[in-house]
Amino acid sequence: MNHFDVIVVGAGHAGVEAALAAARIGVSTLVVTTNLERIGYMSCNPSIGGLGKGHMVKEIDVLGGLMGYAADQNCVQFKRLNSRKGPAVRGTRMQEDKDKYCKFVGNFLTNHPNMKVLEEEVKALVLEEDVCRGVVLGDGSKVLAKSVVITTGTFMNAVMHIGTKKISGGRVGDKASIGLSDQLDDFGFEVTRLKTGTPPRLKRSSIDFSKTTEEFGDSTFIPFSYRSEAELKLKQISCYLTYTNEKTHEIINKNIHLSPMFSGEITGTGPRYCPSIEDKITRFSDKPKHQSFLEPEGVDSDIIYLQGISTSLPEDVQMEFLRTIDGLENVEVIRPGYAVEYDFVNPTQLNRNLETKKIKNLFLAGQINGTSGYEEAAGQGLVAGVNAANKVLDREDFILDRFESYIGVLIDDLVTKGTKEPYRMFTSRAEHRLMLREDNAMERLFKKATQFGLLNTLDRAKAEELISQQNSYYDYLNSQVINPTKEVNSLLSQNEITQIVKPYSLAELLRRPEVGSEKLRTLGYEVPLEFQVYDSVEIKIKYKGYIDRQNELIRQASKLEGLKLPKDLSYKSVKGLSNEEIEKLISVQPETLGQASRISGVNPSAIQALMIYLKAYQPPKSLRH
Amino acid sequence: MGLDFIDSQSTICAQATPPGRSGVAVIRMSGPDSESIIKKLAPKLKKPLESHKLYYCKLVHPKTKEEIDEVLVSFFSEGRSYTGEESVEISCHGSPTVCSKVLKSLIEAGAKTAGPGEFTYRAFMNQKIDLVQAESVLSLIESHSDKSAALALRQLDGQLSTVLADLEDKITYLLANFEASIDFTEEDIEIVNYQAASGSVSKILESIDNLLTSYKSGRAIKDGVQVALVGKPNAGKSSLLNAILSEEKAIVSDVPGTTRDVVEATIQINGMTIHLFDTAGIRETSDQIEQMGIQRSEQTIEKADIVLLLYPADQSIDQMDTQVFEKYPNKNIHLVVSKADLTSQSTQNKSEYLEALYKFQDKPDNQDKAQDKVLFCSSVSTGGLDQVTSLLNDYSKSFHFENSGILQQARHFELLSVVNGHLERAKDLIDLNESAEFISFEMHEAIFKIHEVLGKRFDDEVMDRVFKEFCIGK
Repeated sequence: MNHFDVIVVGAGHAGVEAALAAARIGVSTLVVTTNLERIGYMSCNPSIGGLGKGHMVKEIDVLGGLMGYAADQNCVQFKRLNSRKGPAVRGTRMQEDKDKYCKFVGNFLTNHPNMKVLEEEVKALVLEEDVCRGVVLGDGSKVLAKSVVITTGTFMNAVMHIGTKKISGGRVGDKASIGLSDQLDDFGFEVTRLKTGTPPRLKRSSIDFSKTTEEFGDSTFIPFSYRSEAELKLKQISCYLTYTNEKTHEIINKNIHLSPMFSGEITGTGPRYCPSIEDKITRFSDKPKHQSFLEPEGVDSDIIYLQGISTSLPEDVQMEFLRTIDGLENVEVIRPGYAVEYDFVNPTQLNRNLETKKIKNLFLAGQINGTSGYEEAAGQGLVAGVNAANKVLDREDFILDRFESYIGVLIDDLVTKGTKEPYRMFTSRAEHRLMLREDNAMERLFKKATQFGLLNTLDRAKAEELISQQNSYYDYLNSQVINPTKEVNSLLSQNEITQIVKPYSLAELLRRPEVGSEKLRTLGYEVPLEFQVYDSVEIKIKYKGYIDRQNELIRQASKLEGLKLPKDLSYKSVKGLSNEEIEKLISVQPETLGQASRISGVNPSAIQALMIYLKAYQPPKSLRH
Repeated sequence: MGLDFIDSQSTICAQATPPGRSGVAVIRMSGPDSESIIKKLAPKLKKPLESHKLYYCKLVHPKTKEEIDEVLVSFFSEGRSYTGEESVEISCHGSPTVCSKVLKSLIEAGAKTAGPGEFTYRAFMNQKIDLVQAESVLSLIESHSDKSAALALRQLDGQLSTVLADLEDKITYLLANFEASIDFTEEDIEIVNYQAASGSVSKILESIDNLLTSYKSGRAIKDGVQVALVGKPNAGKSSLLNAILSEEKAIVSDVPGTTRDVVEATIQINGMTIHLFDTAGIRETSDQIEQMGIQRSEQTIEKADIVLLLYPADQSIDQMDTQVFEKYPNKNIHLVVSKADLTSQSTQNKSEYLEALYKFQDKPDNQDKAQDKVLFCSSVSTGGLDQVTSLLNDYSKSFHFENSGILQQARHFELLSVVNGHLERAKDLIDLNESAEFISFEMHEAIFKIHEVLGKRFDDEVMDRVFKEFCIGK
């Protein structure tokens, strides 16, 4: 068979979600990967989630994606970050058994209906003028498809650096993909370089953990996915905290000229937010130490991931400075840290559905678009996969908005502003942060998920059940009234709750800082047992004031989002735009006035000019139907 | 949504000077066809016009060739004019007939009549000025005193914008720290110190408070100081007003209740506009018309910055007078003992007046200041007005704006009050050690509102509100 509806090139986190999304919608899907052993492989740290990232995993889950469910099944340490802070900045993070995770995802993908997985290299795209019709495989054969999703990660023209040593490849043990980016380049795409790095992997048995601080996970497990049971499948393990010291810094400083980042060997821009240890000690030279977590890569794994110490210094220098760190005096290195330099396509060349503007039916997702992180890649993959399938079925585009999801923020940022460094999600990128919480992902996205047919019957029923349980708890809290009787007040006092002087609904009582759902249960009220049911209801009630205000701001902002800019709009003929603004608008081709207002360098006066132009553009009423 | 009149492709024209007869009138034209249109009216202008040059020529009707006027034409090339567009200013003779002929000819030759504020709107659209500056143009046109013109000019110069931008910077800096404390929660560094942050917010609140307080001055400078003359009928209010004006503006007679309506007069002192309101006397009356007059008097007192309560020296203070103190305990009320020439015991009565006043108003700690609340005047003897004029003189000098931005638009005042509210809440949250996301939320909203003042955030309704206040021709 050499014809499919959708071809996905690459089977990393973006590729997996893209392929699964397309297959779930029901179109025939082919995944082409160079290494069947590394489907959904964690190339860098062995964890999923974190602030902003955990939010996206929840969104992927509600939209039918696999990442959250797979993470739940292979979790070896669970943590809820910022659990004492406000609800919008609580984030789930799970350490994973890296090999088990990879096998799990590989099995899931391979056995999925409508899916075929092929171990091959993709050398080129089959193009007919400006339409992508399929791919050319390593053996020269062609496979045709109605749409193609490229998720080659860091593999395009990738070069690994360890000290002055350069090796072609996107990851140790994997070949670089050559040819694709040249083809894009030839077609007129802007293709530039980025770099990223990874820390050394250490031999567990060579580490003296008694000189480090043991870090445990949380005792209560709250899964990412509403489809997972709230119980852990694997044995839980600890991480260990240690620090660099002045001796470490001295060795790095002495050898800094050997780091390809500093010698000028690497020209790509690295992630500011995930700096190498060389970067850290140069930029924060007054800090006497930097923390690092020793993270086991699995339950039985002998590999330790050295979080926070990514480096591209020569192997002997790495060994020298590592052995100055507490607990690592006799450490053996399994794989040294290294930097990777790779090609990426500036994402302003994409539409919001992640289809390229220049080549029709061609979608890009993941690190190829300049992002960093598994979750960022997976979110894009899912959106690209749905849209690739929608193209086949001639359905409307699947666009997530900024006010409903982090994935929407991510894609809007990418296609509107582009990026100059690997883009990582932060909660501060979301202007409507108080609405984009982990707890309410279902409320935010369920409707869209069903509207676009992203959920199978079973999952949909499960989601509907959860929503109905949440609704009835919400109604219960608002309808149950307690009176200030002696019995009630003495019960309240016993539970360290201020007494009441007038009748209170349970919802009103819940608004008090000292009261939570768990306490209501202690008082004898009917509180659901599942965290996933009561948590979001409780937050909705407790933070109603802020949520209402945020919704008002969303309402104001969506006025501009609702104004569509015609595709054929000639910016040159709009009076009141500067040349710079015209250039930017032409290059980004914003789809709405709201998107135009977010392009850097486009001033409010330009938005005013566009609005006036739009009004003039509308045909007179008599000509309309 | 507003501003539908704008068709930015066109060339617009309007009379820039006020309508009516004058020596010279200025007609303004702006837009891409300005040069070609003026050339249709002035056939002698052949060569390309040079920017910032003055051309003397005769204007004729573009079709009938009827001669209209001898005029001076100034030309401004694109990018070098007020609007940022190619512009022409025509100085013609200030007769309404001539002006209307010139405008008609310009329209005949392809120009369109400018909408209200359209010139300034175009300057804003072409990024020649920001929104605050645009508003200052309006103030400048409307200014009726030296100080209000100076203040408007300062705002046009961007001084308030600078102060606001500085505030925004400071909030943004703090906000960045709170944001970082959220997103880099796992780093082993203390990114934001709540105690220090609370101090910083207090400082920002202080600056905003200064700005908000300056609105009182700003408004006084822009709109003038309001002084109300009140007192029993025949207390000598009209005589005092006339004496101050040195002209017979108010009707003076000896029949109590003559001034049935509020009489207004305007004077300039130290570059400030001072509006004097002569009110109907306050007394119990059954005369309906007079009752209405008394009602108006009360409204005038409500709005006044200074109240001069007149009281004839030959009478003793009574309940009617003390009612005023009682009703307006926070007003700046001065007792003016009028007709001080009628008696020599005025000084002895002073303590009696003061006692009545401070029964209802807070007494200043400063003894001299407390004494200043009573003035003596006589409208018939020389120097009899000195105490009253020196009060107005001192008061008018108290408005200055040397150091910082000053608010004069109600819109700015309203928005900055909202900014103030958000930051106060932010400070409360910081002091309660609340989660940074809520503190950030308040700060974001504060910045949002500052952007609204400056027009950095697009909002059709705001723009519309600002620009529709303009008169045509600016």
